[in-house]
Amino acid sequence: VTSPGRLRPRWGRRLAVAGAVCAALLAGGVGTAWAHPLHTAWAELTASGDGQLRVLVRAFADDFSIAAARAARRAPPPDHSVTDSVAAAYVGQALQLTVDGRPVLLQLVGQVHDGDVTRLEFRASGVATLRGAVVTNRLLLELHADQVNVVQARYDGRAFTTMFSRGSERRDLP
Amino acid sequence: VKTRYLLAAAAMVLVTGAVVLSSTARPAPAAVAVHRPDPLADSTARELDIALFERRLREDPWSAADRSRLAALYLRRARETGSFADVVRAEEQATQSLAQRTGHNEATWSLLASARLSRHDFTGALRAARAVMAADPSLPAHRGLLAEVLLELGRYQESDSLFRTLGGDASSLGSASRLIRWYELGGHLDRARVLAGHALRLATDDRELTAEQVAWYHLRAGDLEAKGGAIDRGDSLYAAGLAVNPGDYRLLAARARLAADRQEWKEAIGFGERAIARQLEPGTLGILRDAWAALGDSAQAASYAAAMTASALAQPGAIHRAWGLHLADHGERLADVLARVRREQRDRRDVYGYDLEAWTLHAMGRDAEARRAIDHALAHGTEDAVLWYHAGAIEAATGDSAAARMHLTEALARNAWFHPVRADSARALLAALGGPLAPRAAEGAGR
Repeated sequence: VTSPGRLRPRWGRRLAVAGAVCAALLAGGVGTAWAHPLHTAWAELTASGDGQLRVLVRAFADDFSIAAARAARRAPPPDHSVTDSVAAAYVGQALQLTVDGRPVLLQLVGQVHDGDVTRLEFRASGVATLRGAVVTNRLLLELHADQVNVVQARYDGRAFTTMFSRGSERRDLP
Repeated sequence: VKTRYLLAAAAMVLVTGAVVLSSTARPAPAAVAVHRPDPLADSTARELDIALFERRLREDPWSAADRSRLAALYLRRARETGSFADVVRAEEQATQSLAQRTGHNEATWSLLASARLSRHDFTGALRAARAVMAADPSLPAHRGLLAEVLLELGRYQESDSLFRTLGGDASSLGSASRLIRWYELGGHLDRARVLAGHALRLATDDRELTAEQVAWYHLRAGDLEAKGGAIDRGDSLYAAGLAVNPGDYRLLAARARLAADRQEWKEAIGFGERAIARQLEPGTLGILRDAWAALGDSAQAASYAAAMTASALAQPGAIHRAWGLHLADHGERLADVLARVRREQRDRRDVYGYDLEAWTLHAMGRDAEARRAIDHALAHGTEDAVLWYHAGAIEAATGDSAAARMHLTEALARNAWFHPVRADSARALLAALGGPLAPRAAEGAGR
């Protein structure tokens, strides 16, 4: 096995700084978010104007795995993996988009794991704009009472961000 | 031992003196970027390191050194991504490492203390800091760690005694960071600003630091400049930090806060939305709520308010301070905020805990109690315009006009842009009390 010293000659120096920096993070206030872990999932909806809609979803892998497995009435796998079909089914029911009164069908393009996070990409066609669209976001709300979801929508050359939580699960995009 | 301390202290005084002198001659840089680390390369290397040590521990679970290194890597990833799960993992690994070996493993106590501080387990952090101190009290790093934990617990006399034994050593980034915090809380804001500029120069010259670490020193220097009223310089430092570590959610949140303080609402929303896309942070939610409300979009403001309501008090443990102040500012959930802050005060009686208690009591109309709490908050001499504004408002409510005028004047003199709304409230209250009200442009000379 490669020794850490040979692998990363600067590694020890970084660790020496890490301890002090971490503790001093309390000073800035923003670091205190660690003491208050927010349960959150993020989604970005981008209508490119040519009828193509891209939806990116980012969630903590453990939460997403549990929620998707429960929705499929399966036991959550210990490695937090989710099959494409289970992931697509869960997001399809928890994140819904209606444009001009018609529901938009999201097709899963792929999913990747990055550390603790699962990223999923969906596509849909026939969506020229999101103006007036209705977004319903219940992602992981069934797991945590304090779950807060963020949706960022990009369309018509503008960006719009809004929040979803229990009891506040539906938004009209301006 | 005493002689050794005295000699060390004398040497350190010289070091600090040199730092302050050189820093005075060369003010805190508005934008220093000598060395530009690569955030993508950093995160790739970090993941490789984590995978390596996880694998090594599967092969040899009895390596205390590997557990310690893995703990440090988890802690680093937590800082970079905001993952709370990584803080928990770091604490578990550090605890296991120390269970396997305590000898020649002092650095792991520091990691354990850092992980516990990160999740506000102050008494747990204190146990770890005392353990490392017991291992070798002659080492400045050990005394510094204990001093830092005591500082956060509000045990200022004990903390001050330990910090004094360090003699003001600012020769390393770690020791400088601790001293900055000590000066900041202890009524030496200008000294903290100078030292933060020095630490930033050290960090930007250090090719071994990651982008996130360098950005953090920009954040600290910017925070202190902004706190001192030099908000343009603070904002420049934040911007320079973002050039080093683009997408750093802490710096984006800081820029959102400064923009809101200047009532530049659209800018505040732009930075705030970029920040929460990376990491949902309670203070930023409050800024976005206020910004949308100021722009007249009540639906958007309500969505952020609902998000805060859903999550603010659903969590166990102490309340987030910025969150608590936001709720007190809006007169919401006051009884809950008060109960939580008082629960936290069983273990931690620091300046900002008393401040939150006082401001919440004031919002509840319990001004006599608020006055007692704010007097505790002021006792340590912390220079902070928000703190002084709270003091002034509470003193005015209790009929102590002289004290109120003094604190309101101090607040505006220190930082005329200390809050999006409360700075104007301070001016109005000061005018009503008959105090001098300088023109806003003159107050903001520090910009």
